[in-house]
Order: sequence, then C-alpha cells, then structure tokens
Amino acid sequence: MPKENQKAADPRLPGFFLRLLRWYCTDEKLEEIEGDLEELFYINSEKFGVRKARFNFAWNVIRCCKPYAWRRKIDFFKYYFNFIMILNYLKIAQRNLAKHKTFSMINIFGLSFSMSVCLLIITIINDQLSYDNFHENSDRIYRVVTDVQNRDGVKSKNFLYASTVMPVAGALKNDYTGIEEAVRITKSLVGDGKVETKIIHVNGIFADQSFFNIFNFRLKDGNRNTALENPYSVVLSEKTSLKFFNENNPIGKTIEIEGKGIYTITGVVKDPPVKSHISFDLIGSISTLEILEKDNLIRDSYVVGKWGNPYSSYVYVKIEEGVNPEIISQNLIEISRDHEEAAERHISKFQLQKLSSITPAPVMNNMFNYTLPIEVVLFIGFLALIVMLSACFNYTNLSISRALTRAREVGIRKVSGARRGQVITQFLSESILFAMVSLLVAILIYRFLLGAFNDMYIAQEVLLNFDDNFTTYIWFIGFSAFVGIIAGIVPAIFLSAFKPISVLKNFSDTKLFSKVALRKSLIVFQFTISLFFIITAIVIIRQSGYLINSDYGFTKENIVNIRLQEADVDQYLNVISNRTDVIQASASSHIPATGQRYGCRVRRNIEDEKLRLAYFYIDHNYIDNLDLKLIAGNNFPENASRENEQFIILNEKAVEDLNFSNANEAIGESILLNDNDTTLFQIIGVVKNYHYRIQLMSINAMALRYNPGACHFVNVKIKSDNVEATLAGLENEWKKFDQIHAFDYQFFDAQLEEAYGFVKDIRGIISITAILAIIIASLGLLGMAIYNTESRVKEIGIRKVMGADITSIVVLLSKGFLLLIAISIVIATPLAYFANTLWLQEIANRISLGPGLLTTGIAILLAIGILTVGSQTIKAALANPASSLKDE
Amino acid sequence: MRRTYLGEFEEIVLLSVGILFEKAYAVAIKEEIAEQTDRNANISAVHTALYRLEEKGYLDSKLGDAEAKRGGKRKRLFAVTNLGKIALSETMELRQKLWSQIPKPAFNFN
Repeated sequence: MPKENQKAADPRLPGFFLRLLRWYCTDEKLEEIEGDLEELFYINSEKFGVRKARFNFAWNVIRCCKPYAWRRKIDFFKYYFNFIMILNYLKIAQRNLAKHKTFSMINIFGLSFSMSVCLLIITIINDQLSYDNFHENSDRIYRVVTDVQNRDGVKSKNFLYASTVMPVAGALKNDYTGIEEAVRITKSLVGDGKVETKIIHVNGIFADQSFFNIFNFRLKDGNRNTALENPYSVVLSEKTSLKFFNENNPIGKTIEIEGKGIYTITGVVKDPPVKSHISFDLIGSISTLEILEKDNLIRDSYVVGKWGNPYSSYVYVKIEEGVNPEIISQNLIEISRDHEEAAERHISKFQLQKLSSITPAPVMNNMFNYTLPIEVVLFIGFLALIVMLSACFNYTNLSISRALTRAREVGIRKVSGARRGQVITQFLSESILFAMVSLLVAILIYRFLLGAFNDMYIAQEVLLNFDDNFTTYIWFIGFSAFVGIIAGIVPAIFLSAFKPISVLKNFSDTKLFSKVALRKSLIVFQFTISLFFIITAIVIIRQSGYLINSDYGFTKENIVNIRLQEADVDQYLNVISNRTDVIQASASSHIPATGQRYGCRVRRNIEDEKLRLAYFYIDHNYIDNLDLKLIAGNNFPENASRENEQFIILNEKAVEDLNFSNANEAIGESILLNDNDTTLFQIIGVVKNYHYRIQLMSINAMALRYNPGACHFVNVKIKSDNVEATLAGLENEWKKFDQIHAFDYQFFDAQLEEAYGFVKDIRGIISITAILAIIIASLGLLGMAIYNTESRVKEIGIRKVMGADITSIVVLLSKGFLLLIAISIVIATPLAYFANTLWLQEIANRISLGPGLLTTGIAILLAIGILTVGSQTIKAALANPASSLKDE
Repeated sequence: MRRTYLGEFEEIVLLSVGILFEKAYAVAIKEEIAEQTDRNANISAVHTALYRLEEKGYLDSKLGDAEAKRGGKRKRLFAVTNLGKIALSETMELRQKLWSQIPKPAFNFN
C-alpha cells in the first residue's frame, strides 16, 4: 500500500493503535485488516457512537495481533535489500553516469584523489597494528618503562623512557609473586663479527634464557630452552646466519665479536611472520655480561646489577594468568621506593606498558627501534579526513543542485509503489557505485603514493609494502562504501522527499528544490579549508627554506666529513693534509648541527650552581677549517696535552651564562667541569656563537675541548674542482689505514640538509594536502558553475538579445560565486594566521608571518577561483543567443 | 488422515462464505454470523478462520476494489473452492448418517 494512502486515514481513529497496527502488521495483509477495522469503526460509530467505536477499534487492534498478521523477519530484509531492485538501481546509476560524463568525472576524480590518501593511512595503521601480534598470550606481556625525575626539580624530559634498570627484572620476579617470566635485554652486542675470514658488522642484543618463553620467536635449529643458558652462547637471526654461513648449519661453530669474546652458536632464529619492534642480528646470553664485567670489557652503563642507570636496558615480563596487572604496578612502585637513592641525579619510577601499546605508540625516549609515532599517523589521518570530507561535499553539492533532473524519476517510482526508504536505498547505491569506481582509480594513485611515502625520511625505518592482502582489500572496500554513504546520504534524503504530485505536474520551480543555504555553506567550507592549507604551506615552505639556507656561523661548502672508525687520527690527518687537492683538514668528535654532541656541567667555583654545557672535542685546525671566529683569546696551543687537559674554549653564550661581563674578561679565568671536579680548565679563547645545534633550537652554552684522540670525524676542506678525483684519492688513503671498514664519508652541506629530513616531510605533506584541497574545491566550484550557467542558458540568451554586453553578463553570473569565495577568505585568513603563529613561536629562528605572505595565499586562491568560474561564465556569455533560444 | 477435520467455527465461516456469494469478506462474514447464529465473533477470530481455511485449500481469495467506506482500502473477497464444497458436504453427510442412526427412544423426553 503506497505510503501516501496510509497517511489519509480517518483522524477519528485512535492514532496510537493505528500506528501499533501498522507496526506489527505485515505489509501483505495490512490493507485488508486495516480496512476491516476501519469499516467496523464506521459501523460501530453509527450504532453506538464514536467513543465506543474508538474503544472497540483499539480492542480489535489488540485482538488482531495474532500470528497470521505478524511481520516476518524476512520482510525487513526484502524491504531494504531487495536484490532485484538493487540491480535496477545500479543499471539506472550506470546510465546516469554515462549520460552526464562531465559531472561524473568531476565527482570521481575528486573522490579518488582524496581516497588514495586515506588508503595510505589505512595501510599504515594496519601495518602498525600488526606488530608483535604473533606472541602467545601477548595480553599478559608487559614492558617495564621508567619515568625519570630529576632531583633538582628541573624537568628533564617530557616523555617516559622505554628502557629501564636491569635489576628490576630480578627484583620483580624473585621478591614478589605474580610474574611468570621476566627477561632483560640490552642492545650492547654490537661490533664486528668474525667467522673464519669473514668480517661483517653486527648489531645484536644480550638477553636472558627466558627470552624465548616470553616472545614467540621460533628457532629453526637449536633448543629454545637451553640456547641462551650458558655464557658465551649466541643465536643468530636467519639473515645473519645466511651472511656468515650461507646455507650451512652454524650450530656448534663459533663467532668472535670484537671486544666481546668468542661465542658458540646454539641456534638460528626464524624471521618472525609479522614485524616486531625487537630486531636483532644475533642474541647473546646475558650471563656473558657478568663475565665481561669482571674482565672490564664492557662500559660502565651495562653493568648487570646497577640500579642507577635506566637508560641502557629493556625489561619485559609475562604476568601469571589471572593476576591483576595493578598488583604488579604496585610492586613496581615499592621497588622504586626501595631504590630511590640508587642514582645521584634522578629518581626512577617504574611503570608497566602493555605489549600491544608499544606499536603504534606515543613518542618515548630510548625506544628500542625507531618507530612511527602515533601522533604522526593521527595527524596525517586528520588531514586526510578533512580532504575526504571536502570531496564528499562535492558529490553532495552536485547531486542536490542537479536534483531537478532526477525529480521526475522519483515521482514515477513513488507512484509505482516505492516507499521512501526504497528511494533512499536507490540513491545510496548510486553514490556507493560512484565510490567504488573512484576506489579503482584511487588504488592506482595509491600505489604511486606508496612509493613516495617510502621515500620520506620518517618512513625510513618503517618501510611499507603493499601486501596483496585479503584484509587490506576488505578494509578498502569497506572504507569506500562508507565514503559512498557519507557523500550520498544527504542527497538521498533530499531527493526521496519529493512528492509525486509536485514533480509530475511539471512545476519548473527550481527554487523549490534548492536547499541553497546548505550548498553555499559547503562551498564556503571547501574554500576556507583550501585557503588555510595554502597559507600554511607557504609558511612552511618559506620557513624551512629559511632554516636550511641561513647562515650557520661556520663554513659548510666543500667540506667532506669522514668517519674515523678505527684509523689513527694523527696519521690519517697528516697524510691527507699533504695532498694537493685538500685545502685543510681537521678533526672533531661530532658534526655540528646534526644533533649530536657531548654534554656536561660547568661552574666557576665549587659553590656555584652547575650549568649545562655542550661540548665537542676538536683538534688544532678545527676553528680555522670551519672559519669560526675567535672574538677573544687564542686557539689551543699546537701540542697541548691530551691526557691532562688544561685549556678550553667557550662560546659567547657560555661566557654570558657564567656571568662574565665580556669575552675578554673570561680569558685566563678557570672553570670546573663536572666529570673532573678537581681539575681547573683555563679559558684560553672565546668563539663567536654559531649554530652547533640544528637551527630550530636556540644557541646555548657550548665549549670546545682539545683532544684529537677523542675525535670520531675528520673534516676535510677540498678544492671545488674535480671532486670525483679528490674523493677517490681520499678513499685510497683510507684503504691504506683501514682495510676492514668501508670508507664512510658525507658532504657537510648534504648532511645538514638531511638533518632537516623531517621538516622536508612535513613540508611535502602539507603542500600535497593544500594542492588536493584546492583541486577538490575547484572541481566542486566548476561543477556548480557549469550547472548554474547551463540552467540559465535561456535567461542569458534573452538578456543578450535585449542588449546586455558580455561584461555585465559575466559579472551577473559570477557575482554569487565570488561572494562565496570572499566569505571563505574572510574566515580562513585570521584562522590561518593564528594557527601558524602558534607553532612559529616555538622556533627560535623564524620568518615573520606578515601581510605579504597572507596576500600571496589569497591571491592564489582568488586566481584559481576566478579561473574556474570565469571559464564557464565567459563561455556562457559568448554563446549565440540564436541557438540558445531556438528550441522551445 | 486423509483430510484434516473441519473445526466447528471454521465450518460456520465456510458456510457463510458460501451464503455471501461474491460478497464474502471479513466484516460481512462477521455480520452474517451475528445475524444468523447470534454469535458475536471478534473480527480476529474470523480472520484466523478465513486464513486457515485458505491454507487448507477450502477457500480462494482475491483483493477487491477500494471503497470509500473502508477509507480507500481494498477488501479481500473469499470464495469456496471445490475442495471446500466437498469438505462441507462430507461433513453434512456424516452428521446425517449419525443422526439417522439414533433410535427413537434415545430422544424420548416427556
């Protein structure tokens, strides 16, 4: 029974019971039963009066609620998911798509561009979620992490440390109940591995025997229960085993790790089925560490029993079944209290972290491996969502404005018996079809995006591959259906509301069906977003360019930094300095502005407060080589003592922080450094401030100390001609000193650029978002403009005939759109200004966000907008009125 | 069983459909029964009987015209099928047969 007829029921009938009847009654019998009841009502109201008739009606409704009248479950299904009707909907949708190719293309491109970015996000999230899910009972596995609080109240870091102290594992397991297994891991098994004559650098860990009881790494060969029991045993990863032994079984053979002894191989670990955050070339037994410690072969920080160092090891535990992790957390709090005095400068507070929270995870210090922080993923996801919404709005806008073309169809369908829900289903399936077609195009774009993403700096450690994975496809299809629904729901509801009478009687009253306010606000939304991103992109591009190109305070051109590794610094320097293609060579412990340096505390007198001081070790030539400026005092004397350091050079800021009134006053004065409280260092020179940290950070107190022996790098200033030959020459020299290690060099300016890798990434991401946003907004605007001018073809024809000139017509047609763009500008500009000022404040070295920059952004937006609208309005204004007025 | 038994009320309804030839629908049947047998059956009972009889194959139905007195809704018209006729006549014959076998003295009430 058509819905319209249902509503025409007699108002005297009790409304509630009527609705009740219509609710429980199956459609097949509703008409006859309701008719019967209504007829009885009329008979009764004649015989007994209306009140009694109503009462009787209600009673009948209740009495008729019997099995013969009930809806069947299958009714609902058939109602909404009528398979045959859906085929019809798809056929009509396909015809519409073909009939209006321009609009279809606009919709599809807009959707597919934004979808491809979303697909990328989905892949990333899927990849991150898959880490470490191959461990048995992973819900019982936790990591102990540390909150390091400085005693002097100075806030040290904002993040928790993923590492912790080694002995907490033993304490938790032995002094308290509730722990089934605990494992300690340190990343200190690093060095050259030697098997017979093969030498390959390996990067591995030490771990307890319990490692295999907690994590589900499988051993290809060897026994999980005994492999890491004895000291000096080691298991290799599959890759490492292949590198050293090819296909042979390495069990029982030995491998020597430089500086750490000779180990017997007790097993080979199979590559895990999915990624894990714990990666290693080999695992050594931790019992070895105690022996190494006795022989003084390892650094102080790896000592096994040390409570004061939460920076070097990782502890994982498996909680007994049925035990509440809260209890373990309590135990950890007690343990922290017991060992509060262990470290001089800080207090360690231990906490539990679930294994599943490790990837994806918020940023922590000392993470096991570099992972993609969840904030990055969420940020990109948020951007993608906005762009996706924008694209959906395009579809919504275009569909609503072209509603008139579908109105008759809706009218006929309703008259033929379609319920409103069925019409909605029709339009939803149309938009879902669009979304699916866009999905196909999006996947093509996505493949390309994947390549670009892997090139990004932040993705270096998190290489993604497109697994032709069933689940990935399911996600994609599900997402695409979701997009279809979001885009199509509003037009569907709008279109399905048409009353057959109004549309079939040929009212060409377009205004009736317009929903003008909604469409206009959607356009304003799209352009506001576009302008926001354009301005932000311009700010970022300018700021990063400024950072990378501005003056560091030292020379970086034509300098090659060579990692010293094992070679002797004096000999090597000597040899290369004598080459003709080398202008000058010097040595340093670290490369400035790449983020690494040493740090210590400094004060003038014992009773003074200690200040932070960054420092580098350098040699005699360093200051000259990098063209640093000494504003007071002198460089280090040529043969200053290395073992008993006497002299130190400070930078301007250090001098200021130590309360000297000027640089000259500092010369000859002495200061105390933290690592050796009794030795006085005499200030022999003051160097002008230069950027020893990346330019984002401000310049703090820094010192240069003399000890070529402690330098890890050689800085070689070479002549700018024939660089190739020079490099080859340097490599040859290197080979004479060190046959084992490869020649490791980098150009200083390239290195500096690389340190800004992540800035470049952000720049790339925001720029792409801006481009996407403006493309989608323009596509939307184009569609609206086309539709607008097409529907006013006759009006324009008449105006022209009446004598209007082209300009006035163009203005007339464009007025509306330009007003919308103007509104977007008014909204977006202050927004963009505030948002960008916020993060710019955090950077020490920033550009100014002035009206010039904002104007550039606005100009770009206006240009694109005018171009888009103009293309259509001009075309319309130039049309020949004769042809447009001809057919009637 | 070769055939299902006809319930008492069902039989009445079936007979009424026969009486109201070409005009048999739920409300009319209800009124007819009330008039003829002085029973005020609820419309739902009539519905139940009608649909069950249709299921058993004793009735055919089709939707008729819409009428203003039903608020523009159509009614479902029922008609007795051959099977229904046979069921009715068999029942009647059975009653007759049994009735005729009762000896006079059994009903000799003074």
